[in-house]
Amino acid sequence: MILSLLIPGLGQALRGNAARGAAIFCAVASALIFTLWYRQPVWYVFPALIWWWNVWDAHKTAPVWMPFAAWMTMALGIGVAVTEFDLMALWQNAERGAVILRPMLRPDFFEPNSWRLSFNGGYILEGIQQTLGMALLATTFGAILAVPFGFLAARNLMSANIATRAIYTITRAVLNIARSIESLILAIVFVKVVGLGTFAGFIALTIHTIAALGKLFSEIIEAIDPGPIEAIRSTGATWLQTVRYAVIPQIVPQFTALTIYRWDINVRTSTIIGLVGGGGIGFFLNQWIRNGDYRAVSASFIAIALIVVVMDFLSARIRAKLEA
Amino acid sequence: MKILRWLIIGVLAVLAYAYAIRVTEPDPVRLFTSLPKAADVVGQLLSPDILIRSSTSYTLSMAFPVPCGSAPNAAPTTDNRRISAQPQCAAVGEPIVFLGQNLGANAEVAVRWGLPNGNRLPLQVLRTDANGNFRYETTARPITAARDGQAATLDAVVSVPGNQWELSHTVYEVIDQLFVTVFIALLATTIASVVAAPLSFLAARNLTQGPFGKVVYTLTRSLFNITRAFEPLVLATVFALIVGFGKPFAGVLGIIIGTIASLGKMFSEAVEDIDMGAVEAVTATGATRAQVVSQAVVPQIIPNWLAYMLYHWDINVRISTIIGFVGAGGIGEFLQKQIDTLSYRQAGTALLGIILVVWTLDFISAQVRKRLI
Amino acid sequence: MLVVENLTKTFPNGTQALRGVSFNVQPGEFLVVIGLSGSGKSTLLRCINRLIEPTSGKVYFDGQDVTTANGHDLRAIRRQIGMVFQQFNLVKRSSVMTNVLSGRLGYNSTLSTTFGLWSARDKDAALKALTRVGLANKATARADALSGGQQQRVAIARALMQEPKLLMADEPVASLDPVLSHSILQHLEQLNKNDNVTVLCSLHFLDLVHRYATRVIALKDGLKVFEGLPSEIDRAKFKEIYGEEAQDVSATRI
Ligand SMILES: Nc1ncnc2c1ncn2[C@@H]1O[C@H](COP(=O)(O)OP(=O)(O)OP(=O)(O)O)[C@@H](O)[C@H]1O
Ligand SMILES: [Mg+2]
Repeated sequence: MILSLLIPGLGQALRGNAARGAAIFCAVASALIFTLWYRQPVWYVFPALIWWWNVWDAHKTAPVWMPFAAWMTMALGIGVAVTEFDLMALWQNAERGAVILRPMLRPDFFEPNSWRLSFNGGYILEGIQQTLGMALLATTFGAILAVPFGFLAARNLMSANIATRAIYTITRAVLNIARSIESLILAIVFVKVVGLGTFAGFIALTIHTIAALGKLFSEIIEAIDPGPIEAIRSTGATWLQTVRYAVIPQIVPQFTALTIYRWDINVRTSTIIGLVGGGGIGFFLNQWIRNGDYRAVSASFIAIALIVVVMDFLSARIRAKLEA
Repeated sequence: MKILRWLIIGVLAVLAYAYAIRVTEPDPVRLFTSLPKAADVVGQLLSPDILIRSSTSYTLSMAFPVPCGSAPNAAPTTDNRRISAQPQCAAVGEPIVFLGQNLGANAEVAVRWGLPNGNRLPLQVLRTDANGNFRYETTARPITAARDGQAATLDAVVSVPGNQWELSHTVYEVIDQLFVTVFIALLATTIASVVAAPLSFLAARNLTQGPFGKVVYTLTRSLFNITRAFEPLVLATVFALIVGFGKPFAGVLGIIIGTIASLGKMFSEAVEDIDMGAVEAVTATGATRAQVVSQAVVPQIIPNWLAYMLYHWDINVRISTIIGFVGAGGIGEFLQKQIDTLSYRQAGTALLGIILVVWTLDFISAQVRKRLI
Repeated sequence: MLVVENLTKTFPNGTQALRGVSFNVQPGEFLVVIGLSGSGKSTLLRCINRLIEPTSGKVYFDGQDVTTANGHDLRAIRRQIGMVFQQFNLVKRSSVMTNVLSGRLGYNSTLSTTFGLWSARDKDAALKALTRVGLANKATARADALSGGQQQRVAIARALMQEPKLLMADEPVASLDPVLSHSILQHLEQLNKNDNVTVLCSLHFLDLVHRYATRVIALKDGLKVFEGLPSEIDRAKFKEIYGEEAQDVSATRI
């Protein structure tokens, strides 16, 4: 109890409940950091409350909802302040909203009273093609390149000696870092390097795909059943034959399913990657937003939604077929 | 027959790829030629601006009329450390030599234009020689022209190195923005959960029976599905237009809508998975519908729901790192500004922060979820 | 036909799974290996065709040294030794036919098999093998759609495709219920009697040993503790091999 007074959670940890101790410590620490960072004296009451609760809890187990409620109240309170959350702002800007939303009700695809594509409609079509093309290529290249990474990041293949284990650890780390950077962030960097357009978006998507799929592939490889490999080797098969008959049948269906799923995600991402200059329909959308051409904006919204829905459906169907 | 099918699929695939390559214009040559630049950028990104030598800095500034006579020339100073220009004014396109004297040995000098409209045009970062002098040659550009009798200024921001290390200003700014990012996600997830929870009951097949229930079910489900087709980023652009660019509030709103749809769907699937035996038992006691939900349904779904909420907080943090790109607040806005001004080392700091935050939340949410389920 | 001399296996983590095991297998025998779980039965069988590298000792198959054979020679030896596993070790996502055909990999070129090309003779043989184990009608099914007993029969068919002189079976019935156990072992017995395939099989249940084995060796903690006829294993011997607390669990009584 006294220990908990000094370092929150320590008492609980010593009483054998390490997880509870760690959780309490994180809660108090984060509450302190947040309140101290924003230097709002009123908020100090929350970390104080949680701290006090923690001492009580060390004494005899106390209900969890109390610190949880205190933490959430504090976090939401600070959150509302720092994000300038203000529903009234919506109301106050209703007029501006109306100016934006009204033209959106008349999406600009076609020439009036005909089925010919309008000027902007043509750009939308072009944007869709770029989006789909970029996603297809990025998924293909990404998946192909992810395969070697997947093998290098598979613990069961790479635990033979120290050298391979080092490669494993490094590959894992690189994949994890790359994975936590969104494609759009990569895209703004590559736009600077190779210039505006689909190519930048394609590279960004490909890199993110390699990282994401490489990790998933390695998990599949780690889950391989070694039995069939043994069995095929015992028939006198060569190394290549063993890979072909015992390894590939085990991993290819899952690799394909994951790739299709990634394709779905990539199509989604490539609709918006143009917002940062990465090409595709988002590129035109960005222009229209800047120019205030809200009819074209809503038309591209609809186009994006359609693409997403169709891809969702397609990928689910294909994956269901692969499962069977 | 089977061969024919594979043939058709093959031909379609070839066509699709040919088309994809045409519209994407992948350009290996460009990739190759931009390698040096990529190396430079990545190198800077990998040496983030975290610790800096403590330094004292000061700014010297002098009016520089373009063209001559559009505004008075800078008055000569007698200060020991001073900047000067030759000539003292110039027409557009003419060369200028910008000089500094006695600024301190090996000081870092950022030279820039201060434009009449208040904007700044960074030129270069130089170092003074051992005597504390620098010399920089440039030309007068149209944008530097004096306006309404007010001349642009030539500025030198001088930092004299001290001998202590301290956290750079960028670090503080990044932490501040990361907090905003985390709070955007937290607020959006919480509010979306509050909205999605009641809706999810309407979208659960096992609780919506009868013809009226069917209609409600179908309506809610379709609403979820349609909303899910809109990326939070796209929604945030619209909200940013309405409530103002640069406001994190817009990001919160955008993410809320996306999260309601996706959480609502997950929530309702959790409801559909519950053990109906308990529901029947409570119904059999003559409980009202609300009582059935609170007594038999809620206790079964709470752990799953909490897990889904955590999972979404995690996802939403990732989204809110990029939502700033469309002017909806958070670290993305900062990152984009750094990259737009080619401050890659500062961008590197932001990237490092993003990676750390995403990892931490990923870890915490995975740990807690493991214990919940 | 098989000579095992002083075979030792020490795993990298220090476990001594085999400690100087020696025995011979005569042509036409049905030799059963018994022993507690962890006594080293699986390790022994895997050392014979070098799925596991033995630490020391020698294995001769038909007079040929297995332990020093490499590459091509080792594969040539392996293809004469069929192997059946406790967990069947079928490639679950492949069809039954593909699984059976893979038994002939050792006889075919790497190139053609990589593209999944098999000669009509091999396909014919595969169907015959499947007919022998009573599964001809399942040829196109996926392996994981079969029951455990059926999967083990597919595994036997795969081993048959190797036209083996020696068939090794590592607890082939441990994952099956008693009735199926007999059906599988009868298949092995048939091969042994009719086709003159020598069988080396590890088993758990004593009544199965009595029923099928022509000779028995017993392992305990990596040491050979018994070699002789099944009839020589009485209660006392059994207790010695399996330890005091052991009960003779009869498969058929379950
Ligand atoms: N790859 C390995 N690495 C380390 N030790 C191992 C390995 N494989 C087996 N062992 C150990 O070697 C010993 C013998 O194992 P083995 O699998 O040969 O026994 P077994 O008689 O087949 O047992 P069971 O009846 O359970 O199959 C055991 O102690 C086991 O833990
Ligand atoms: Mg075994």
